[in-house]
Amino acid sequence: MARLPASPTQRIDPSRPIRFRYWGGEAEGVAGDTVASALYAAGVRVFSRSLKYHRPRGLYGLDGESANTFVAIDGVPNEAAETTLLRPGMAIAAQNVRGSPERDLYGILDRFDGLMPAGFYYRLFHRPARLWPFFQERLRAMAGVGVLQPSGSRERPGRFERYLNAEVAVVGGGPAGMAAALAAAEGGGRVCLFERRLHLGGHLDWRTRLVDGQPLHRRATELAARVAACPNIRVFTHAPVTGVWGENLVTGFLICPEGGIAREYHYECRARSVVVASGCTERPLVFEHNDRPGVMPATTAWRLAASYGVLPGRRAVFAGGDDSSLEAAIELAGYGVEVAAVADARAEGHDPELVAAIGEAGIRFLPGWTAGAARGTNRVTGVELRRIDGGRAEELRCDLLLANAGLQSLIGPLSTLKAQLGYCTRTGMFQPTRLPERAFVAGSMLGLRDVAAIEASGRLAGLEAAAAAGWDAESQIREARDAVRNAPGPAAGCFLACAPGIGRGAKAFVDFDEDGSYKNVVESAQQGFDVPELAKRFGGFGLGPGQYHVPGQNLAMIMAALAGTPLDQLSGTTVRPPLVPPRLATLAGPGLAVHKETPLHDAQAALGAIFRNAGAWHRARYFSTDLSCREEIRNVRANVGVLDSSPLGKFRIYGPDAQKALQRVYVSDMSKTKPGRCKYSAMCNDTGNLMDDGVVVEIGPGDYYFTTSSARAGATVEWFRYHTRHDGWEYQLVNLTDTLGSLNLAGPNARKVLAKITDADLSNAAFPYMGYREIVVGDGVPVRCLRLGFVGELSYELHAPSSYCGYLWDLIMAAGAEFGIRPFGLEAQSCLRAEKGHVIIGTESEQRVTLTDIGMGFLWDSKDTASKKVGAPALRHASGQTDRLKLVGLRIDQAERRPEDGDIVIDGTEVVGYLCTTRMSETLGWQYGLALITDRHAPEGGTVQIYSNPRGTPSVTHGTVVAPHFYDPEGARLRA
Amino acid sequence: MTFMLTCPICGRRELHEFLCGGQERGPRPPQEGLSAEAHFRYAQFRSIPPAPQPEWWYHGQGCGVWFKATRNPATNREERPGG
Amino acid sequence: MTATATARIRRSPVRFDATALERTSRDGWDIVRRYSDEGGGPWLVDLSHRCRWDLQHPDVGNQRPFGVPVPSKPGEVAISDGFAVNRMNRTQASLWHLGGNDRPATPSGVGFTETTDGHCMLAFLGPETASVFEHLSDLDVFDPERGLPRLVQGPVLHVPCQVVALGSNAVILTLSRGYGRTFAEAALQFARPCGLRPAGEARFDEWFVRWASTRSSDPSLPSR
Repeated sequence: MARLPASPTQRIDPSRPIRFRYWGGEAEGVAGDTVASALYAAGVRVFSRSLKYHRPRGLYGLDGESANTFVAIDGVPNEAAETTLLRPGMAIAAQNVRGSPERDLYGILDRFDGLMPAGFYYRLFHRPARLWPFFQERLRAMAGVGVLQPSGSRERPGRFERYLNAEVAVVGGGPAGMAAALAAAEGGGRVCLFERRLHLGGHLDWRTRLVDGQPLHRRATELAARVAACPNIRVFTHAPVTGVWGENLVTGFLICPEGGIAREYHYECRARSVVVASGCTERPLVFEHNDRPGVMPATTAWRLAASYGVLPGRRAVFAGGDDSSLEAAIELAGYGVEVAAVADARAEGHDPELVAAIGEAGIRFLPGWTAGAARGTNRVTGVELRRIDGGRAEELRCDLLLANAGLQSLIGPLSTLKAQLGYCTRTGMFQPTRLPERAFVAGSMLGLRDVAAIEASGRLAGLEAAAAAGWDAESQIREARDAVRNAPGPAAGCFLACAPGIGRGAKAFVDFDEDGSYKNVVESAQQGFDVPELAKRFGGFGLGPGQYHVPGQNLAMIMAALAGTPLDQLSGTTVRPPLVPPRLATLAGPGLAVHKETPLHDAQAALGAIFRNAGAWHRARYFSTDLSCREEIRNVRANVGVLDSSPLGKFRIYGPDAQKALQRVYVSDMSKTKPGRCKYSAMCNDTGNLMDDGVVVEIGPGDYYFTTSSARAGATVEWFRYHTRHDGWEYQLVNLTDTLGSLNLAGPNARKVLAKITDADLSNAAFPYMGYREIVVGDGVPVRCLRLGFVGELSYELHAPSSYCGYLWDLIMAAGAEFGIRPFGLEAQSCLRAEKGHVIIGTESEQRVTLTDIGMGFLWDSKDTASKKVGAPALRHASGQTDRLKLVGLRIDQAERRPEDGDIVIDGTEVVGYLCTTRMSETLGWQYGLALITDRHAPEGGTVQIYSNPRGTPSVTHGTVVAPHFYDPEGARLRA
Repeated sequence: MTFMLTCPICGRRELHEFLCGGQERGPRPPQEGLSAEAHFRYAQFRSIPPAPQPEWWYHGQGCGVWFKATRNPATNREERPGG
Repeated sequence: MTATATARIRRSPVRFDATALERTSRDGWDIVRRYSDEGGGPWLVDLSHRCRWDLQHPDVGNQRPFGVPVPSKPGEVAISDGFAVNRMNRTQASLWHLGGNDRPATPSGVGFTETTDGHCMLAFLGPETASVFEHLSDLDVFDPERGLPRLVQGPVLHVPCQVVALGSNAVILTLSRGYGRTFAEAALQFARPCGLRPAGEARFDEWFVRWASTRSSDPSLPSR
């Protein structure tokens, strides 16, 4: 279809055609088109079929108000045609269609609407239960808007985020929002202005009406230019707001232009103050068949003509409730649409200037009339107009029916901001009655219609917002208040709930997305869901992607009318976020993968390490595809292995009160630390559970070096400071976890390997078990060397500055080659230490067991009450208790299917505990288990049964209770 | 839910930077002769009155300092910010 | 403990996917001075090899590490003779050696701990640096109400960082070394809309010298 002649309000460039595909055919739009405007211009009227009844649905709003115009683009479903810019080569398809949009096979469902009352999905198909899957499958196939094609699109656009900080954020780029931004910016603070459409200007953008001798669209351009020229205002267009939150956090997403780095991305703006100027939209008129293609708000048709140069129809009938419809009628007549009549639900109160202009244009004006029913199926072909009092009716032919029941305010941002809202009996809209701190409202959502009044309210809100953010603007605010007072106040609204004479069975839609009709509202009320918030859930009104836009205020008004509630007591529904739906990929696509790597990551990767997540770290878990790690384990026991234990927590604590702090958090007597010696101890929480273990070394007077488990490294400073927060002690902590890497050289040959790369005396006499030495390795690498034995062999833990660790690893591997050195990973370590009976916190300990229960009670200095050790009262309290879980060793009988970690331990039918860790040990020759079982079953020599039930086939294996130190119980090997 | 807290070192920051250490309940009681009940009352029991109450907060993502804030759990607003 | 190594055996946690044009060795570190194709900015520079210390003292405000007085309030930054002294809290400051190639000796005194190997240190430089930062963090590092340079401690890409904004076109930050590689990768990815690219150390040196000289000649700028 040819476009209308160029006009200054147009936002398209007809000289740049864009070709695309629709429903298998070729079509053409122009630059500046949205998918919706291009399709409409190409003659498409039925865009989709509705959710339940498969009724034909056409273009409704132009801002994503309903799912009518959701289309699949290049295989991606549920794209809002009105807000998606047309791109060359797009393949566009209609949704929820069997056959074609115009001739849909399920269209017959519309005749059986009696079978699908409100809530039918919940009420009718759930009994008998065995038939539910059948119905579910059938219903899901018929209902729905679009089908995901996981293989359809391989596009994985980048994911980005943007965080803004501002003194004042303004939601809405219409005249009020722009005036607010300009006023707020006078204070010098940072201002961010967010507009969901591509251009600033709001409802001025397409209006040619002269005010003070200037067309309104020119006024919009002028304001936009001033905003753009203001250095401390940042403008974000095509940036819908998804919500405004506590203390004025604005969230939304930025839609990128074609060729941008992503389709859209998430933004957040933390503002000191916020101005909400989100404006109004037309409140849909509820009348029979009000969903027919060709029935739309007046603004939609107006914008199609003014902004997109598309003639929306040939013969239009208006049935409105606001002066904007009168203005639209005059404008559309000017664009060449034959206007058959302008009905207005208001009997009086019209703008006399507009009424006169309508008369001059020769248009029939029917105050006190509205639409009662639309005619036609795939297209509207006519309308039955009715008098508001139901007295008369008249049929008119038309292909465009521009209907509304006045305006409604777009309260979404106020709803998420938790402003109190109330129905205003003058403006006929929900308006804020109480606003949170530093939040302000301006513009037409306050009921203002006069453009000067709208700008004045914007200016006042902007000044107040800047003042709340710290700018002294008292005199400016006083002037702005006067300006608002002198400008025309809120206009009277339209109070029509729905068309007169509407039958209880009428197919008059309150919500298009969920196919919620007037009849369904009546049914909901009859079922007892008689307030809007309940009916919303039962009938699904407003649960669709268009959310509040279409059913919003109508639901509340119709329910009030049904219940006979006076309008001043009208209560609405809460508008839920996201106010505009972003793509899931915008919030959760591929993107952030920041994790920690040890300084030995590359060295291990080169040797075939398989990495797994371990807290924030990626750690080497296996060095071969044999996940039982037999070779790694055997090599540590027989030769020597090296483990990257860099994530181990490493700290320095010093200061006059350092020892007091150690005494507080560790259970042992920490006054017994010695230079050159590792003191092993543990930390508990206030319930006596094991939280952490590690060694403490005195490295100077009041100066200590200590280690924590990897998982606790991040919480250690917090833990120390929390448990000493009332004491006023002077001590300092330095987290050295990342400063020092750690290599655990373990196995009978460990000493021989280390001796090759250091001159330090490593003899048992000079450097015994649990010793600590500072040595120099290789080409001057300073190493803190701890002789420990977590895996049960002669071991040296080498803590070296991280930047040297790669070099150190190479050195060790070269030196160890002749002794059969191999790296080992976390899985091998876990098996090695379990054979030795060393616990891992959270694996062999949990919230029900104390330090004593897991056999580590010997660490606790029970006589010390003066230090107020964390956990000591609980340990004391639990020490006499029976019927507690205890950590035991199990020697598990050979079985066809071996028990696994987590299997439960039973005695007959009683559950007495569970297996924490179990492995078939090549070292021992039998399967061991570390288990937590009740103390009644804990004595050594007893037998228990282990119940396994993987994949639903149960089996029982027997085990004998033994001491949990299976390997080298005397500890001879680690002292060797 | 989102709100901001005033760290005495860093100023007003987003909630997600902080860890809550619970209500202020005074220094650890002396352990000599401490009954189990008294201990668990101190260590475990909390009340959440809908009124301003002193709380401990840890600025874990920031300066790493524990501080006391007076917050009203009913409104999530601080009294005497930074106090 | 101080290292004496001279060979290129020390490694930064950060590796850029870019071709090095010029390298140098210093104090055991292998340092890239320039990459090919650095572009016109904004740039990301790895400064992990620059020396850093942690200083804690009950009276930290009266200490003068490397002759630089520790600023009196948390968040304040003193920069002098190539050292940045960032006041972190009541008792703590971080010390960064930003200028000069000689390795300074760790000052004597119990409160000093060398933490060079504990961090990854990155500089964001050039035009659009503020915009780059908006893609990485919600921290208000350029809050006009507070002067520059200043220290902000908070999350960047969800990782706790010390961030020092020197000017609207320069930010230096440190974070736990373990995050270094993936952090730098994520920063380059997330700031792609601004055209952030890796650059060699020389880019920072040139910038720092210029910044220091304009600052000392401009009395309106905050000095220490």
